[in-house]
Amino acid sequence: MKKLLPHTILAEGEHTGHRHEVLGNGVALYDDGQEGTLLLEVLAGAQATVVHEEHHSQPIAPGWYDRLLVQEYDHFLEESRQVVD
Amino acid sequence: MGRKITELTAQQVEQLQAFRAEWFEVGICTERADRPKAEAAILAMRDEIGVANKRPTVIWCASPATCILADTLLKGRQSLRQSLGQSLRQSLEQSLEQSLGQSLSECWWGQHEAYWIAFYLFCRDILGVKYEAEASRHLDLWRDIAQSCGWWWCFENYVVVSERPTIVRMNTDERLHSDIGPALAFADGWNVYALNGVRVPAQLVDTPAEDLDAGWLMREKNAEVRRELVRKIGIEKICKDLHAVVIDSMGEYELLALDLGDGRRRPYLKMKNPSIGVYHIEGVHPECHTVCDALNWRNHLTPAMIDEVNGAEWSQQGDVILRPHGAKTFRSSPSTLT
Repeated sequence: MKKLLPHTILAEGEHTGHRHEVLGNGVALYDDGQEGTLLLEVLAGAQATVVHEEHHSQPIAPGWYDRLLVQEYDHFLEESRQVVD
Repeated sequence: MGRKITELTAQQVEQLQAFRAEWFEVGICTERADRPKAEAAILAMRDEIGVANKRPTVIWCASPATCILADTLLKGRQSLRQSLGQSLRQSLEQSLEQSLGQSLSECWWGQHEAYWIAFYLFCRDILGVKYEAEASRHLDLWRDIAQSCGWWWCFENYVVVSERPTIVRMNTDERLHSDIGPALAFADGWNVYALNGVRVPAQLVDTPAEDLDAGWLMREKNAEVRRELVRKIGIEKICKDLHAVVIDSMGEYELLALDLGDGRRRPYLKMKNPSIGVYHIEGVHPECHTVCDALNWRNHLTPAMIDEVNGAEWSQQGDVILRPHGAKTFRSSPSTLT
């Protein structure tokens, strides 16, 4: 069961407050219960853009998308984790 | 009904630049608070929502941290933040812009609310936009507070207000930054260390680059802090100190074997942020033997998921990946990377 989130922030930096955020009308972000993944919907006809303070903006075509975060490996803990910024 | 404008005149653009500069200075002002002006505006705000107590105790503190201590000691009283928000700020915003102010925490930010106050002021005072009389009156109060004090908390019988900081240092991109002490400091000693907008431990700022331990890089969990570590120590020194051996390279990427300090060598991917040109180093799975292995693993792609011909295209912005939902196979590289 996916849950509509009250925002369209794909990821937010803990130490900077900077955000990867989808701007535009006809955009919705869902938590579909899968760990580490969010579900992004861009409606047909919508003009959506992913913005961030330090990265160039990217237009996103209508459709459904899985949002993942890149992973890294902690060789001391010997486990992988999502990159946190 | 006013006339809608779709662009600014050349003169208005000039005015916008000057207005923006003026209000940026409000946001980073380090002068002592104008206490009479701040208190008058806060009391007027309380009047606007009909608070019975017309003479609350006003407690001035040197920093937001001390304000929170005072607030904690005085806990148990009913905060008027919600009432103030609904009656003063939301009435203004609902008629102008619905989305602002939905994510504020328990206090008001005083001078640090300059960003949204200036927006409405510019429209009213420079462009001539007419607001409802009540909204315009409230805007004047927000303006007065932003121009006169730091963060503040409002309760039935008392108000806690912070002085402004004594130090605000920024880089040329107007992000908090100082490599000679705190980037933000208050008179009571509470401070924030930051490099290029990233909050970092004081040790990273205060320790000369040549004395910093490159091993910190491998223990630090936050990618932005790691980025500033690399920026300060220098990628060459890090590679030297950690006895880096290049296992594979591809374009700007290198797969390094780094010495963990306990006799083990493990793979780390060295890469350059394409937007800001700064190096990152991230650990990758021990089974990664090439840059391709490392990039695929980092991007959650197994060999079975990669199809360079029929696989779905996907995009990446920094650490965020967007992949078409439901696709089973993907190209190995993002079609857009920023």
